[in-house]
Amino acid sequence: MIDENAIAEALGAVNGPDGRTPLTRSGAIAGLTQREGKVYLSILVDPTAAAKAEPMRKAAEEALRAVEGVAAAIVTLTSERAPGAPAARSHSHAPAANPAARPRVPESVAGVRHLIAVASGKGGVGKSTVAANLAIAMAQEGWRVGLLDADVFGPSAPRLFGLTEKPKVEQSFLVPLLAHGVKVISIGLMIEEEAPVVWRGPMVMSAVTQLLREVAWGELDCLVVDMPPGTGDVQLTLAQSAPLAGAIIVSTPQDLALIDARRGIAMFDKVKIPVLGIIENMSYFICPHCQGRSDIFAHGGARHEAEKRGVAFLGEVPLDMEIRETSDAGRPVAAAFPDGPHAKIFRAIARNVIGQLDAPAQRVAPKILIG
Amino acid sequence: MSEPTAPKKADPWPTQLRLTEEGQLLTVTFDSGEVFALSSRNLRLATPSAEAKRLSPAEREAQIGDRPVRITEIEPVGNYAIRPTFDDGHSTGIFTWAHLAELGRTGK
Repeated sequence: MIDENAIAEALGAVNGPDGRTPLTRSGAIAGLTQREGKVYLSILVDPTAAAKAEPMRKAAEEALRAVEGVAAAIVTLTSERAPGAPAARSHSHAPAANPAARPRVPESVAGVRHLIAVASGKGGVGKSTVAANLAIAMAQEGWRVGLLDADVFGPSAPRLFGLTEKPKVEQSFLVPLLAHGVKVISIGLMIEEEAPVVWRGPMVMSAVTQLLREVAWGELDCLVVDMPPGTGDVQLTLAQSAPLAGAIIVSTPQDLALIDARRGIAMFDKVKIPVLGIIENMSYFICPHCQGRSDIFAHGGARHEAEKRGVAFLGEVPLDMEIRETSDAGRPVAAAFPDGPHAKIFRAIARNVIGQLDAPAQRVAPKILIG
Repeated sequence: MSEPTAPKKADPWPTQLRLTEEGQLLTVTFDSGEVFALSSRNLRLATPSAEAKRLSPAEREAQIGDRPVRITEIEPVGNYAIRPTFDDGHSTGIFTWAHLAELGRTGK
């Protein structure tokens, strides 16, 4: 634990957004957390004045780094308060007002506005391909997007994004790699492509937590988490440790996949994460020779399921050589052919998701007040 | 098969949790308008932790004794629950919103 008073003192020496009031008295501190010698601070600024606030951000970062025991500090600017953060509490004047009890600041990921998960019940339904294309399409819509490949046993993001270099470490934070307008981090970037990850549950959980929190994501509008298939450790870790804004379920239309998609929906329901919708992948196949259409895995099953569960149906992605080839080549179709028919499907899905995330949340976790 | 998961009106959702009386009382306000004042002692007794599942109510009482119980820390768990730390060190119970509502409604 780093001394909270020392942190408050360091931040008191930095001028807040107005350039005069000390940061600690400006009411602009939207979130302050620490974890194993790392301090995360987010400062509330007027989005139009974000560029001017950069020197203040740097100054705060330097001040924090100078505090004894601080190994690294990440300061981000935000235009939104972290849920549950105190509105305007003066840290310098009321140090530990009630030492008997204290609320933990909800550990939202510093600088990330919305965190969403792309999940499926079953493996092999094309979830990672959909997640990659969705992230790229959201970036094309103008959002700052990151992709976290949480499938530690079968990471696909390096191949999908054509990434081979290892991410750098700066001040003990991993620096994500940028590809097709998306910041990407994956366990696959740190190990050889053929090397297996042979881990038990607790190691998986701590790896996922690190990929989430010990990465210098910077300011993101949305962080897309590509989940491993199923309803296991990784899903539960994420659901418990980070406030997910929603989940997207990917399924093929066939019954075998839909059964598990249902389990996925039920799991998110249990941990109160809204399902933003279902995407039907490998929805149909247009023969490149005769243009005839074949519904290889049947058709419309996911749409039907979405209606039955009362969740949105986000779109149908066909089974197509172009999608497969571009994915294997490290340039997903949304990036390779941004004006093509497949990219259009992903753009439409991206707009739907952005619309849902921008709408005021129906149910946010409650405020926890002490005293 | 379970019913469609769509809009569930009956699902209680808290809007505020407030810990007072030096950690001895947790007041939970739900969006249904219900407000429950739950004593930390009763919460401790009703902990859903797996460690305590095998204990009978009497054993739980005996474990805690006669003293007042305080909550020293409350950690949010995702969107769906809280994990309070009690002053006897117990901190493995995850209280979901539904569980808190149930405790309130049954007058615990």
